[in-house]
Amino acid sequence: MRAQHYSAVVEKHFTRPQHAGPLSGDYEAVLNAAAGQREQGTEVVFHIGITTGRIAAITFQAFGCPHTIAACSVLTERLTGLPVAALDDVKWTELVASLDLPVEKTGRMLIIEDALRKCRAAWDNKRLGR
Amino acid sequence: MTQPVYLDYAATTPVDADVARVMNACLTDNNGFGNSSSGQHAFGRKAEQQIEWAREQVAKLIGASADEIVWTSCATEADNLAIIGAAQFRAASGRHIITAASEHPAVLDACQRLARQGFELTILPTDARGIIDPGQVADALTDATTLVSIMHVNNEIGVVQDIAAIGAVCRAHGALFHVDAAQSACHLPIDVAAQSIDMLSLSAQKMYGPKGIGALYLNHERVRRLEPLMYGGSQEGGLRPGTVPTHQVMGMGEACRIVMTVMHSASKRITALRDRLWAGIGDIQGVLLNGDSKQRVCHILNVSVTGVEGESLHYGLRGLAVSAGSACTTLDDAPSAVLRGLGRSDQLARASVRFSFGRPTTEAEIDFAVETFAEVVAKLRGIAPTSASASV
Repeated sequence: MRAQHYSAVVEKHFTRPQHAGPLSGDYEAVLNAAAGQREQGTEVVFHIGITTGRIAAITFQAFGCPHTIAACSVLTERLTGLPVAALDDVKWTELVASLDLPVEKTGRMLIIEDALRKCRAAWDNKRLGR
Repeated sequence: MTQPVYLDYAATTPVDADVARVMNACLTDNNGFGNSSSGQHAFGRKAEQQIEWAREQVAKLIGASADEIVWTSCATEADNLAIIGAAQFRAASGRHIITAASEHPAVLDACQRLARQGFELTILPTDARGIIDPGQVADALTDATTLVSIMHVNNEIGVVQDIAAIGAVCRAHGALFHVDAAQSACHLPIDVAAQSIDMLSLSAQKMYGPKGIGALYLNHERVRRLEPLMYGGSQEGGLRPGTVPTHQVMGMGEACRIVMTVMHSASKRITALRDRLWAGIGDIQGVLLNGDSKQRVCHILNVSVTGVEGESLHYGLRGLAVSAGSACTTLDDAPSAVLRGLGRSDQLARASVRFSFGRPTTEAEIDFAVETFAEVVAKLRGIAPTSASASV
């Protein structure tokens, strides 16, 4: 294993990940979405509780590298309280930049983006009654 | 307790204080800087005396004669000189080489170079315990086999091969038998005659000596000559030209002298530390011992962990200076070939940790390692998706 670069943000959120684990509490709607495969090294699941069109609570579960766990933790902090549409604003490029990630971690951030896109799609389906 | 706690003695050992004193004396003594090849004056003769004293210590450690020891820069160079040098010199009598998939890259890469030059190469797989059966070697020998290279102790998983039995097979056939003993010489008795070893590689930095010095044993009755890797001088019988670094070889000599006095007691103590660690982590569900549980050296314990990702495991354990695989293979991202050879999946090979212990290791350090390891594994498993949550 090459010596990896771990930024201060990654160090902080890997050491004390925020909002890790299953979702608890009562919400008007609950969204769950997974992406990635454990056999390929990264698997993330997001659980989102929605009340009045906003992300009332969001938790994650992750099997992956420190950067993946830290990125999930950072996102749960950022997204809490925002409208569901904010899920669309999460971009892997921004994660790479804000967490100062090595370029080889790009794929992992795409997996996280995929999981959040699935959550957004699940919300749209619920709203449209599909 | 100072952190990180060093548990990577299989990668390298600190230099023993007595070794450092001997080396320093060579460097600071105004009479000790001579070139050992300058036998016409006292400065050179003093250096030569020191070098020959050190050579005797190395020879005694393995039951050899001093004139059977050649200085090299490290065990990797000794492996290369033994394998490439012997195969090339004996090419007319056979061009088939046998080694094992679990060998150190210094052996495997040297063998692969010979294969590119037209030698036939047989790489024996280990069994699920990491062991090479002497019968595998016997079955692989052909009339063209000129050299067999099998390591004594595996640097990643600590499994001890039955060198005496493999040596007997090779001796009966007539093929030369080379052993990389970099990981064993500090912890296990070696008798090159009793174990039918023709060539043996040693490293000072694995036995509390300095980096930058190793040695190759050559059985003078069986190894008439090697093709040198370098040219340019008559030092070391022309096999390893270049001025012999007196302070380095004195460091290795002193390290070997100390090993001979403390090996028994140190190995007993280190075995107890290794067993203490395993007693602490072996009961955690999904912690798997890599390599045979009995045929193993005292100072290495390698485990794989189910349900955790390798990089996070290693980063979580940053309070411990441990290794993922061997120090010589962790510069790339590929999972350990040794662990894959045991049948471990890519995931388990990546989520592996090599703990290795040394003379300075304490029980308190082991207890800290147990506590840290258990915490990190529990934390990572707690974060990971369950089968139910992953199916959403």
